Amino acid sequence: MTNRREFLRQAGLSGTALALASALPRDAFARAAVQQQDIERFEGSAPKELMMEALNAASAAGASYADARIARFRQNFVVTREHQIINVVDTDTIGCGVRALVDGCWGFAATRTLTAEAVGGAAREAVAIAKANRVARDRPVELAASPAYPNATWKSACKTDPFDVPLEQKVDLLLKANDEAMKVDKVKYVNSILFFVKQERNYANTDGSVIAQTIIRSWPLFTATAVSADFTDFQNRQATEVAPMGRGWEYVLDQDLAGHARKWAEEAAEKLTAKPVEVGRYDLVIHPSALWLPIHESIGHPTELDRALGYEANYAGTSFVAPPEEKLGTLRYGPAFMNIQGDRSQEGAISTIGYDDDGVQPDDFLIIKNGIFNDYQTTREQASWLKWWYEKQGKPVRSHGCSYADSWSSVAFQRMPNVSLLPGNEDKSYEDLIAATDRGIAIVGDGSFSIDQQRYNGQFAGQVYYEIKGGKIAGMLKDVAYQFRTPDFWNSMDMIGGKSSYKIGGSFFDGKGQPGQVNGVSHGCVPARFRAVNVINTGRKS
Amino acid sequence: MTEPTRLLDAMDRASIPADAVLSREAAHALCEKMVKTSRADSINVTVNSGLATNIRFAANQMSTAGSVVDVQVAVQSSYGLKHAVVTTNDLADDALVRTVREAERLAKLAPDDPEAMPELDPQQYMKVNAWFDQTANASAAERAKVARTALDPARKMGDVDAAGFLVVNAGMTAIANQKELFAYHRATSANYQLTVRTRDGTGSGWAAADHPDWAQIDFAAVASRAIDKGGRASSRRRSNPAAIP
Repeated sequence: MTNRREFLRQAGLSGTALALASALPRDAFARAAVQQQDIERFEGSAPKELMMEALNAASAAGASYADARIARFRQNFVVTREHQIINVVDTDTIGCGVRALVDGCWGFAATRTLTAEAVGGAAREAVAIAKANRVARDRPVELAASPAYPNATWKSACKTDPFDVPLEQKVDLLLKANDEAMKVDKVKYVNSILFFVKQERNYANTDGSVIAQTIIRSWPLFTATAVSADFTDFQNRQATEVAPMGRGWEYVLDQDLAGHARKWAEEAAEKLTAKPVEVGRYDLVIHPSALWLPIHESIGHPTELDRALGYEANYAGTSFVAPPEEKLGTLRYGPAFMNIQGDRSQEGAISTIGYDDDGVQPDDFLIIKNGIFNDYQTTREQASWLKWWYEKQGKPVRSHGCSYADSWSSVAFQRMPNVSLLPGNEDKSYEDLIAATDRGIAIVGDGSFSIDQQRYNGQFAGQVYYEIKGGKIAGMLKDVAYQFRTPDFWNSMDMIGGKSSYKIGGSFFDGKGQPGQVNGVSHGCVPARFRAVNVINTGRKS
Repeated sequence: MTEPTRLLDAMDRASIPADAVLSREAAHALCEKMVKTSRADSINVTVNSGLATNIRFAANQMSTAGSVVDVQVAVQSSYGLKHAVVTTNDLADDALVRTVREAERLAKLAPDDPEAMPELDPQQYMKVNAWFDQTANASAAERAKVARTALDPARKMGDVDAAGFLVVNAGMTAIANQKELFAYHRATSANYQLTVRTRDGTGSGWAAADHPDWAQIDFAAVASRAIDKGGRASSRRRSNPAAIP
């Protein structure tokens, strides 16, 4: 019998919540080309006409609701190490996906061929699948109402399209940063990468929405590795405070990789001689560049409604924030000053978008309000599951606009909006939090982590750690990781930064769903202090 | 094991293109066209096409179900130790020519790869029968029937929740190069897995099966195994670490 590990490997399903390396093709210099005639079919009014063809075909075949997406997805990766280019990859794909609802059952079909015949065929196939599924239906799908947007458009906050920037400029920027880092003694290896995403998404549904959106995302990555003289130790410094953003080439230039590379490399070298942390309980001052990841894993994931109700039980996991009727309005997640917002509206954030893949204009909503769990992330299908809660609150039953598909060939389902810790009332800074701490550890940058499938027990690290003594930084530490139970951790938070200390972190790679899909995530937050958190030494040999 | 006889049965599936899985002849003609177009020292062509279908259920409810038809042609062009890969999913003649030219352009820009290997001469590959008509032609109704192997008993029991996924693939791979190597392989696969949890939160069982031949999978037995494991996990007592020597 196939064991679980082997089975998942064979099925290509062994994704992790955040995986970077698996996204890189192995071939040096790889490119996927979408050809001119497909691009011509994609431009002007052609997508709208094809989407109408698909919707008409679905309706004629018996769908009570249908939506069509015709989209072009492009990616560009430029990868270097030390003084050379390692990889240049372009991917480019265009196609059409049609989703149909028949008697409360979903069907979906996708085709890469953008002709009236092909998209109509996909629509009929989607309806046929939905009809076939009726024999297994128990509770019919009900979509929460949403206004129609008959001629809507939206674009990311991008000034310079990174796909218009020549390869030579991208390589030059990375190699200059590498050169600066390699000047630092003991720094032997440097990796730097530029990731770019462009999604041109056309959407239409039988409610009457016709929406065109362009999403641009950019992510510079940089890692310096220092090696001890006797080769017994090595330390990495990843520049994770440079977040992926929904911005263009101008964002990459603003990060000034070459200007910061030397500092990051010096910190990698300093980690070699840093004092190993002594295990124990410490007050932690966590910088936003590190805190976004615990927010993602211990708040973002467990408050996805599909997870809470078991819809990811066979893959991504479930949630300790369940069942909804026992947690909504009662679970104390953290202190009264803790407010967690879900939104898709923060300028430059990865999940920000005008309209989701249900055709919904997302709203801003509080997942945690004054420390109490207040709401889940939802789609149109899911919002009706919480009708009782919204009616109790005197709120309309509406989706929060969290539907997303990672490709024209993927079916839309619930994905994470921007999930962010809102600033405190007092305008405290990261430095203010350190000054107010007598004995603790300051953590900058996100590092390795582990968390259980219900998001209840976690362990997180960072990039660099500093000992705090008497309100001052007393030197660098290494081998730090902290462990927590989610409610204990957030309830130990006793101080947070103000508006001016708010920053956004995130990743391009968050996995969920079967077939597996990957989406980008952003989490805004302020620095925060947590009292008496259990710290372990990850370098201890026995 | 039966010898495969045909590609997709388009008779029952008017909305699925009959050439969703390219035949040996079609793949050979496509590869030959691209190899003849090459101006590089060497060229390697890989073609993949297929139909992927799936059905998903969770919390004892139907979830999503889908069908995707796609093709990918990958061209690796090499000049000495320099090489680059370009892929496309457009099979039009001019598109294929542009794909080859783009691979050649990028290969000239690429750094030397000290581990680059020369293209293989024609090979004799072992014949593998991995294609099964019954898998390739599994219908949406048959996939829904598989979902019911878990949904029906779980709903009847009332104290467990089933979540699972069935994915069925039918596809082909062809490789070719300028040394007249050509190989074609087509394969089917069915992969079923599910998790059954007891509603009291104390038990969870996982089971799965996969096989190129749909008929070789006892889907009901897989579902029963997950239900049984979930129930038995629930009845286990908490261990006492102090009692373990």
